Amino acid sequence: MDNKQKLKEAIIEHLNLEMEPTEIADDEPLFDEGLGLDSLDAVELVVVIEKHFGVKIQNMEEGMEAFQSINALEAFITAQKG
Amino acid sequence: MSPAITGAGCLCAGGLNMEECVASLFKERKMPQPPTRFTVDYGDATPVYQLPERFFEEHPVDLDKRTLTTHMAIVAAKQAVEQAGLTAEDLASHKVGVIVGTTVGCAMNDEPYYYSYLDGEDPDLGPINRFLDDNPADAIARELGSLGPTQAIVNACTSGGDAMILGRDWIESGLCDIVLVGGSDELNRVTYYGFRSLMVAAPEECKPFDATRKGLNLGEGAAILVMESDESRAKRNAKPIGHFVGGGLCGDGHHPTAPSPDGIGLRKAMAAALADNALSMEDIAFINAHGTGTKSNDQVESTVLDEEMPGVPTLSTKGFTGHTLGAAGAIEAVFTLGCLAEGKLPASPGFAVRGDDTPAALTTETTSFTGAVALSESLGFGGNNTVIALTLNKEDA
Amino acid sequence: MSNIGIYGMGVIGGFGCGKEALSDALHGSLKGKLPALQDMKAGPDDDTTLPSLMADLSPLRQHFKPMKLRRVDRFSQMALLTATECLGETTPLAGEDTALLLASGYGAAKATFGFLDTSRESAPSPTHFANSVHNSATSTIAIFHKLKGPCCSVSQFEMSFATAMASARAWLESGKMKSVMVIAADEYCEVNWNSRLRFFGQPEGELAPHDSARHTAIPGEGAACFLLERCDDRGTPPPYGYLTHASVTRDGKTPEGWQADDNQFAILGLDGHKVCHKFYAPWTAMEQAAYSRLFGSLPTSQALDMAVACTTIKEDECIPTPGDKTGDSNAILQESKPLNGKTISCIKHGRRGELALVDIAARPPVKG
Repeated sequence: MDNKQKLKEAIIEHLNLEMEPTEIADDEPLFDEGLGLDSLDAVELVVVIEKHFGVKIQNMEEGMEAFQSINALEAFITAQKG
Repeated sequence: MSPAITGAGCLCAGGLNMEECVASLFKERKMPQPPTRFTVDYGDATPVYQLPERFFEEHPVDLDKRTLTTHMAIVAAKQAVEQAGLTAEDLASHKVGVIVGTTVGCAMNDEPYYYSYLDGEDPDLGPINRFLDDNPADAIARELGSLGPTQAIVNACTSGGDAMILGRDWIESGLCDIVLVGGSDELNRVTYYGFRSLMVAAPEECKPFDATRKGLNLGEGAAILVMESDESRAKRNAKPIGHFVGGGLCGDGHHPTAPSPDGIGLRKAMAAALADNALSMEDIAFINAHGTGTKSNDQVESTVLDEEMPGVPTLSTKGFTGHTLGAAGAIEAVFTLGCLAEGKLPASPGFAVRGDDTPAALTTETTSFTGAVALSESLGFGGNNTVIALTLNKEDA
Repeated sequence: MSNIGIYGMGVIGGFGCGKEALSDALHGSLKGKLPALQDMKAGPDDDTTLPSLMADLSPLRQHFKPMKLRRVDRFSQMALLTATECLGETTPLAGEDTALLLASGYGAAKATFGFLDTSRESAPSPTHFANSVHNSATSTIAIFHKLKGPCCSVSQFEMSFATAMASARAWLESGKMKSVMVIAADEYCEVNWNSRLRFFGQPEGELAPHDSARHTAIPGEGAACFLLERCDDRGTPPPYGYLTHASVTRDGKTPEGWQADDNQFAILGLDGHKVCHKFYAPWTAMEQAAYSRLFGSLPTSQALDMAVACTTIKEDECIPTPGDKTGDSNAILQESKPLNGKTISCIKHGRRGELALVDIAARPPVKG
């Protein structure tokens, strides 16, 4: 399974979104418009990324950059894992 | 209605009674340290403000039978009752109530019990009994023999201030003549992990309202005050140490953990606190702000302070105590009364420079003030905002 | 000073969801129809269970989309459902400044243990933590219904509801608030159920609340919401009665100045706990019923008793104890009869005998 699919499934499960992975577009904004997540979802996502991908996000400035979209998140994880 | 405050007990990192705690505000700031009473099993240990170690020698307790939260509440209550000169006979009445704000005190979150239960080990029921026995308001009532209503306020970080407002309301309605009001919370690993998971715990000492702030330091402590009607105080010939002259409670209706960016709840709570005795901004000598050191709280609170109370000397005492959660509003009420009596404010610890997002200026040196009434603010999870107004002599309000 | 009236109500529990379900359950009990019990997990393995009275929260989805409910835990959902029903019935005079006062014995118990689950895996969930704070339910109601008034949450085990009502009454009598919604909620939690089992064992037969000889308590979960306002402000009589008294005394005695009418009806918080039965002795002579068979034993059951009181006033009918009425008192109501304007006392004693007393009057109190 590729990272993007894994990300979508993890986000859906942990944020309790009742939707299918196919309903989240790779380039869709995750916060505010688009999926409509907020700051509490953001800190929850930090836990998700660490738990499923072993990547630690140090602060929310770093997090919000990465959380722009599934594409951005996938790129962040790939870069962190080197 | 402005009930008298006739006694106060206070415990925090700065000291083990009101006099010590207030004096510690004017001494060199102690830095927070990594927690010593529990292990931090993952991640970096963010520093906290614990009670001085000597507390456990001066006030020994069996923590298998009594929670530290309840123990602190009782110690503080006894200090307050002693100062107020209340006898056992005074207390043994249906008209004496107890209201204590807490977060940990009403949470059944004993880790060893729960994990042992999950592993099928049928753990000893001690922690359950402790939870059932140790509602802090109830425990104070049992210890002191009061017979009126008890209430634990579990309203997150505004609980201590809320307890004082509800105490005033119980007296005003005639439900009680005397109410012991305040808050208590111990440092607890579950709460510690919780705040870290929200990414609001600072890896260093907190810097409320400062441009370089990185979050809060948790703390622990308790404060209980004796609040009573004028009739009760006069009948007992008790000397007041202050008066409660206003209180406002208001929610943002915005977000589970972040304050509303427009600060509407805080503004309304401030207005309500002033309205109780027709006070205005000009009457306010200083403000003890909530000021935790987090990005979002300080930004919103600072903006509101700058717009509603420009130029009024302001400080946050959380740089001395850490954020004591359910106890904060009550501990800070004690500090407020203490500073009113001293006639001066210390420099606000951790504050050096205003940020782009924190326009309000805090004290940077020992500062005197004019005016007789001070405000103390608390903001909490769930969007709660609580503001109380205190003075030494109610004729001045 | 204006009387205080109950102008709206919402309720959920083992009897069903909503005021109509409660009324149907009361009337159904006259024909022997009682809410179904469910065996709920009361231990770490699946075989350890306790018969329970559970709430069905599915109606919440008729009001709010799943995306909006995604991180609202069960405790908050129960509180939200009852608040939604209450607000659907009538708009509070205070509008967005309506105050919310929530009472709970256990609080958000499942979210607390859920947080511990995630902590154990070294991945503590901030959402669970946020939900485990007791006042998350009032915050949820405020956010969903765009309320920006005072919000407060209290926890005092069996005394929680009465102290919240006393505070609400104080707020309204002071004139500081125009509308106060008092909500009470307690949810199922496996760890709490396990504690009950370990303390009391399985129930010794059918729930018989008036029977002092056996332990027959059935744990339950539920919530209730009441809109309180000053009658002078509303200008109309309250459909659910007048709040005339709310107090808590630690020695179990009635407070000075309280007196029962000759003709009072008592809804007793008896719920099958043998150990607490003795505290209810002072009420033996008062015409009485106990409704725990409809919603079970929970710390804030007094709120559900009050919901029954409000229903009794609205329908002018006192229904006897649903299920087994065996008991020593001669005053246990045996057949339904009109309320006839009586005051109803909702009486709950705590584990040490403390007395929580909430009076609802069918007729406006005579002003002295």
